[in-house]
Amino acid sequence: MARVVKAEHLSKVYRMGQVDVEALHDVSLALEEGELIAIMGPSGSGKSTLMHLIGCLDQPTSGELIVNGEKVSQLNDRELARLRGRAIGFVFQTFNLIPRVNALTNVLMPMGFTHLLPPREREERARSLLEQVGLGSRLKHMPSELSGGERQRVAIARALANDPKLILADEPTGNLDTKSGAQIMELFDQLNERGHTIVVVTHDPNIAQHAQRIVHLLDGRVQDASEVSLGIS
Amino acid sequence: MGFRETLRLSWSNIRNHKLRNSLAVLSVTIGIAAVIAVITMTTGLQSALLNTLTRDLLHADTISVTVKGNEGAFGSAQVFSQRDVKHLETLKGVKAVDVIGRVRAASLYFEGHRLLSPVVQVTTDPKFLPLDAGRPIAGPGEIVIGAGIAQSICEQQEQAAQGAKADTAKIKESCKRATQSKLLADRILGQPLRMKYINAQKKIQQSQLQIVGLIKNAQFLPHQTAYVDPSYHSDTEELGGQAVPVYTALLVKVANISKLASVKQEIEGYFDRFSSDARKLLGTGTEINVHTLANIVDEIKKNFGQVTGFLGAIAVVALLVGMIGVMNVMLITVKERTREIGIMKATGATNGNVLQLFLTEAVLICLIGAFLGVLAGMGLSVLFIKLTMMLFSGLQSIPFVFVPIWYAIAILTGLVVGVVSGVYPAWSAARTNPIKALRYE
Repeated sequence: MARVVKAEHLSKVYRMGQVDVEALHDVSLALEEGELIAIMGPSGSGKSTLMHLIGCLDQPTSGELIVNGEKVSQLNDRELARLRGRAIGFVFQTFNLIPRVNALTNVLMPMGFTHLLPPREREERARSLLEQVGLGSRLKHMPSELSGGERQRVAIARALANDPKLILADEPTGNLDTKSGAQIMELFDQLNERGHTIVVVTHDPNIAQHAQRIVHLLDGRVQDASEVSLGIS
Repeated sequence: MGFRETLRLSWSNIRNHKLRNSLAVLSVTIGIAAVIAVITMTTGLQSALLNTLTRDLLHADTISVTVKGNEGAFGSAQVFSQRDVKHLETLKGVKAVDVIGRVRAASLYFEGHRLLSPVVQVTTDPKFLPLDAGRPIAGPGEIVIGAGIAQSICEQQEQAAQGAKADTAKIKESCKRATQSKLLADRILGQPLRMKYINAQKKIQQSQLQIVGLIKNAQFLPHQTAYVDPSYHSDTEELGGQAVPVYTALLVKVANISKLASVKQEIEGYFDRFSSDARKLLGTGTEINVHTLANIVDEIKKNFGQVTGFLGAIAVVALLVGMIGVMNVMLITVKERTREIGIMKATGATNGNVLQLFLTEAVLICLIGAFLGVLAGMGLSVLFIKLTMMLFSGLQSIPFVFVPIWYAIAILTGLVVGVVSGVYPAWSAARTNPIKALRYE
């Protein structure tokens, strides 16, 4: 199986005023295609930082990171944006839809950045993605007219817009009731079965149960060494 | 991101904040309207002034050809022939050629008394002379007179009325004042004058004339000149073995006022050659003056240019304020949509995409503003013209001038203002850190 993400000895240091804060310390991690893994840890453990690095929104201070075969440290802003657009789909805790355009346009937006499909075919794809997440009848609804669970499903459809290798979900059920949360996780399971590689950041053990592998973070370090070595092998 | 998608996203935001963006549009509208109004009005005023001064009063479309040292009342040396006229008529840009001649040895008498030193001339263009009162001469038996002659007639009338005890100095003073008022016209128009002159048969002849018009009392018009029908003209010169009529001056009218200089050059060229009758008669020693008002027209245009520039500068300040208004709105918009910028970046937007989006929005606001500004500016100038005409009655009407090139410039300015006011906000949006942006509340 191809390796989607390979991280070796990653560390990330933030400078807060006069002091350096080490958010990640020597983290090594590998993600195989088709995996669904969970990253767990209390707040401040560095899970968000790790996700931002894997999502190419930020660069590591040291260590090497390869995403979808590309060395992240060697990419400029433009190439990073391209990689984010084509290889990664984000799902956020707060959904982060554009509030003033409808569901369909929200899903269309990432396709506009990548130009993978000719403009005429984009709307067709956006429709079918929204149908896949069960919102075929809600295409023209504004985000404010949708429930939390529905909004998150629009967000998932948007994450799938450019058919990325990797889906990064940051507390995807954090703002949802149990039932909607379960539906979302069910959706992730389906996507995973279809071959999508998914990383879910969570502190909810019930959510983490869906994962084939759990990476525990504490104070910027990977806690369970056995899991990590298993990943790298 | 494609242009249409960018446009759609920008437009959806503009629509989303109707009041705020309408005010931003308005601020640009006011600036552009001010500029367009200033330009339309000054162009209209300039055109009105040029019309009054040059076409009616100064005859700026007319080039006068005279013999040097002989310009006074268009002089007495008669050297220009009909052949010269015919040739000038064939020059490019020439609309018509008229002549001014002098009635040979003419003297004028009012009620039996000879008037001092009037010069009696003829012209084939009766409309050439601006009149204060009455009408142009329509044929033989009629005469229009200058202010100096009118004053002499007035003095004689007063002398006759007051008899021997008249105060000559007082009469002179009151008649001089009268030439500046319309009162004189009532006394003079319709009065008979007798003209003694030498006719074509070289005989002294007398004619009864009726005064039909008073020549405008202006600095540049000779006061002691009177005009009669061309049939009284009789001066000839021997040219090519026969006697041809000759005149003191030529009046060349150009079709287009901007062609004054080139036509002037051609006329000068013609009279430099011995093929022209005037040069043949004068020989090489005497210069022929070809005079245009191109300088005055240029001067007027230059002055209006300065006024336009000055008023325009004030209008540009308004535009600058508008620009700051748009910039302010754009900065607020960028701040407000920080999170959205983060989302876009996370889903693959490059800095360029984000820049383009916000720049498009600013340009859109300014283009709408510019378009409305052009319309408002046109409306404003119509209003201003009406107001001016109302306040200062008796003004010559100020035309409303279409200045399409300026409308294009205004729209282009809108584009530039949009880019200038949008570039900083858009740039700051583009370089927003996506992680911070996603966390932004």
